[in-house]
Order: sequence, then C-alpha cells, then structure tokens
Amino acid sequence: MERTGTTRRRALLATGAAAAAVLTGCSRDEPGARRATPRSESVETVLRRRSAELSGALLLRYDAVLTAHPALAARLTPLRAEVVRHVEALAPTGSRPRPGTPPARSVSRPPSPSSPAPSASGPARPGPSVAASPAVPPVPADAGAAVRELAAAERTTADGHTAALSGAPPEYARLLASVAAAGAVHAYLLTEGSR
Amino acid sequence: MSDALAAAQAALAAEHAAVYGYGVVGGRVGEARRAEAVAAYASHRARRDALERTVRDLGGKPPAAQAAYALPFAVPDTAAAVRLAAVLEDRVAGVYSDLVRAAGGPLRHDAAAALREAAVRSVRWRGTGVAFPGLAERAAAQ
Repeated sequence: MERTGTTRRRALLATGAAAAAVLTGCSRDEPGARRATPRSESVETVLRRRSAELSGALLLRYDAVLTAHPALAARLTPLRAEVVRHVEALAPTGSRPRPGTPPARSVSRPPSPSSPAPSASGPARPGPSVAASPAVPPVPADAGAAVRELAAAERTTADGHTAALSGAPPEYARLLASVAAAGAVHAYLLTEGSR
Repeated sequence: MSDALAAAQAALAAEHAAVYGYGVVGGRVGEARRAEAVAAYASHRARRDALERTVRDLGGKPPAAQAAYALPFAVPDTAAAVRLAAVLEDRVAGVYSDLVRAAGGPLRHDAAAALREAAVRSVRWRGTGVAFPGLAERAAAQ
C-alpha cells in the first residue's frame, strides 16, 4: 500500500554517509535511534521537512506581497495565518534547527510596512531548517498581478503536496491531502474573491 | 474487512446522503445558484457510482442509499439551502480524508481529488474556508 521504496532511495542519496544508519535503525521515528545517530533522519522526517519547506516557501511569498502591498493585508492576512498553521502541522515532530542555521524567527505576525523585507532564513517555529531557501521572485508592482501570482503559487504548492501522497505514511497522507485542498481553497479565494 | 474497504463504504454512504441532500438544495436554493447545485448533484452522483465500483473491486457489498435522510436543520429558504450545501460538502470532505489515510495508489489520489473538490465547493457555498479541510479534529481551532 505504501510505496516507501522510492522515498527510501531518495533519502539514501540525500544523506550519503548516513545511509547505513537509515537502513538499520531509522525507518520510524525512534528516540533511541535519534540519540544514537543524530545526523540521520527517518524517511518520514525527510518527507515532513520537505513538505514544511514547500509551504514555508509559500509563506515567504505571502510576506513579500504583504510588504510590497500593505493595502492587501485585510485580504491576505487570514490566508497567511492558515499557511503558518500548515507549516507547523507539516513540520517534523519535535523538530529543531540543525546546528549552524540562524534561530527561527517568530512567524505569528505578518510583516508591517516599516519592517525590513523578510530574509531567506528558516520560516517556521520551531524551524524545520531551510537548507537552501528558495529566492522569492520580485513582487509585481500591480496589486492585482501580485494576487494572481500568489494564487498560482498556492496551486503549485498544492500540486507539490499532492505529488508527495504516494510515498507518505497513512496519517501524514491525510494531512497532506487536507493541506493540498486548503491550497485549492486559497487559490479560489484569491482568484474569485477579487470580483 | 480492510481499512480501505471500510473507508470506501463510509465514503459511499456519505455520497448517498449528499445526493439526497442536494436534491433538497436544488429545490430551494433559488435561481441564482440553481445551476451550481445541479452541477454539484451530478458530480456527487458520479462519485457515488465510482465508489460503488470501488467497493465491489475491494470485495465488499456497497451500502444502499436510504429512502430519506434526516437533514441537520430545517431548510425553509435560500439561505438555509446554501448552508446545507456547505455542510454536505464538509461531511464528504471528512470521509474522503479518512479514505486517503486508508488507501494507497490510485484510490488514495482519487480520494484526495474528491477532498479537494469538496473543500472548494464548501468555500463557494459558504464564502469562507477552513485551514484543514476534512480534518474534524483540527476544526475546533478555526
């Protein structure tokens, strides 16, 4: 039922030298295994981290649009708040930033017009660390265009979560499907709500 | 009985109820949104038919529709009909999220697509959405 073979293979490629530890001990989140091999990650942890990063990248886009177009705050802030909840729900349980990453900043409040533009650091609290943060493309000067791009980003993010369904354990698959559905809802609200 | 079969039967039962409920919605929703109600009715019938095939393929016996279903509240006017439509979609979303959990492969993806459709229909009827469509345990905090 679960196609874990493909994701396990990806995890092996990703962790390199830690591959042996992945094979022997860490197919489920076991505290003992984590303590013994702190640098290896279970298959589910890798999936969770990637999924949280996907929604985290969407969160960065919301922040960029809100910084460039403060007048959209009433419309975008409720949706942004839901994306924050998605990042937190998707993140690995008990996750903490890897050594060397900057401390995760609070994401509970959206940026105000006077605050500096958000940096490309770990977006969630407690961070799933963002090893390679995606650069947020520049926000269009036209607010309508910015909203349309955000809707497209919601759809792309939802597609990404949908693509992860096959390899996900049952409970996490249920969460992914819900977050993907929420993305479709957001895209609808951003597209239709402007009428 | 496998988890996938039980979840598919639960989804089929919810689609039977949704088909019935949309019959009521269509009759009272008013001119402006009747076409939308008709489209939703047709979509739920198609999902119902697909789930009947799925249940049989999984070796089960599809539950039959009831003659009538108790509505969650009285539907005397357009506003109530719109509210009922949203509630129907929310219930359908809930059973499909369970089917996503219980199933694998193509059935999991079909269930996820049905969950997404239900969530979008729900927001179209109600005007607002929720953070985690289909997840009742996360609804309280909305």
